[in-house]
Amino acid sequence: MAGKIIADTLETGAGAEISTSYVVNGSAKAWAHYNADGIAAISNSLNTSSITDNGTGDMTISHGSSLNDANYSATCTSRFGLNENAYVSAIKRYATSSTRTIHNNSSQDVLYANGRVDHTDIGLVLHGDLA
Amino acid sequence: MQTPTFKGTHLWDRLCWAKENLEPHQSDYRVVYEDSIDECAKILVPDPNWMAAAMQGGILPPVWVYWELAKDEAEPDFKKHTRGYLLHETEPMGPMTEEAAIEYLIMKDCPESVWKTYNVGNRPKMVICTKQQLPQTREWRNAWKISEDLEVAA
Repeated sequence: MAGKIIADTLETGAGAEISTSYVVNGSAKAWAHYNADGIAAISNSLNTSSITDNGTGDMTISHGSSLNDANYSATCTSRFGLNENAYVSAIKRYATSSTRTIHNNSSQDVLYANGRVDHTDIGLVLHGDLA
Repeated sequence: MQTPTFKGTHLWDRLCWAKENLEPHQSDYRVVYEDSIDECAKILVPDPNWMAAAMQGGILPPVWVYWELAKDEAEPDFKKHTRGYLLHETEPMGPMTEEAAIEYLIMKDCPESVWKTYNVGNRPKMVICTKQQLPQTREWRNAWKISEDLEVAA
């Protein structure tokens, strides 16, 4: 590594202090921007090794550096084509090495497989502790 | 670019270095596999930043490290990882070819029950192909099966 900073606190010029643990614990540990429509593809990411297209509206995102436990926070957003209708993305399964997301065409169908559709511009962000 | 000598560096930090310093590699390879007769074929898509790290070398741990963590997570009383150090302290792998990286990824992200016996039985349940070989439309997406005519690309 080119350099190293070891510090317990960060301080602004105005004297406001914050512990570096806020930064370490609050940073996203993994994120991915991907499409499920057509041939699935990842456009950008951090700490992601692959996505798996499990079927319509059903994706698994695998992580490079695993999470410490399955009690992490995952946020998933997406859209369906270019229209402005409401579409819903949700987390189906949390595992330390992967996260499974499902994508539906309205909030009424979120629990039912028959409402699944392939979304575009899916964003997944994970906060939590790394293994 | 030369990979720094990462000794005991957290894997996440190594992946951050890769993202900051390496050009992402969008692989054309896709892995199509069937792990349940009741479900359609699944398609694994490699991550471009991860592929760059794999091909660069000196960043990723050997794949057996992930198997060890998977074994721990499969235990019924699993709460959290206690052997995460394996990811960070095991000597990283050297540079891989694109094909070797795909094989590593299969053994990391596909179910073991698929890749260990992919060619046992009366038809293959896993194929490495290129994305151009996959159907472009989703009209019959949930009926996808591995075609016996699909040529192995790697």
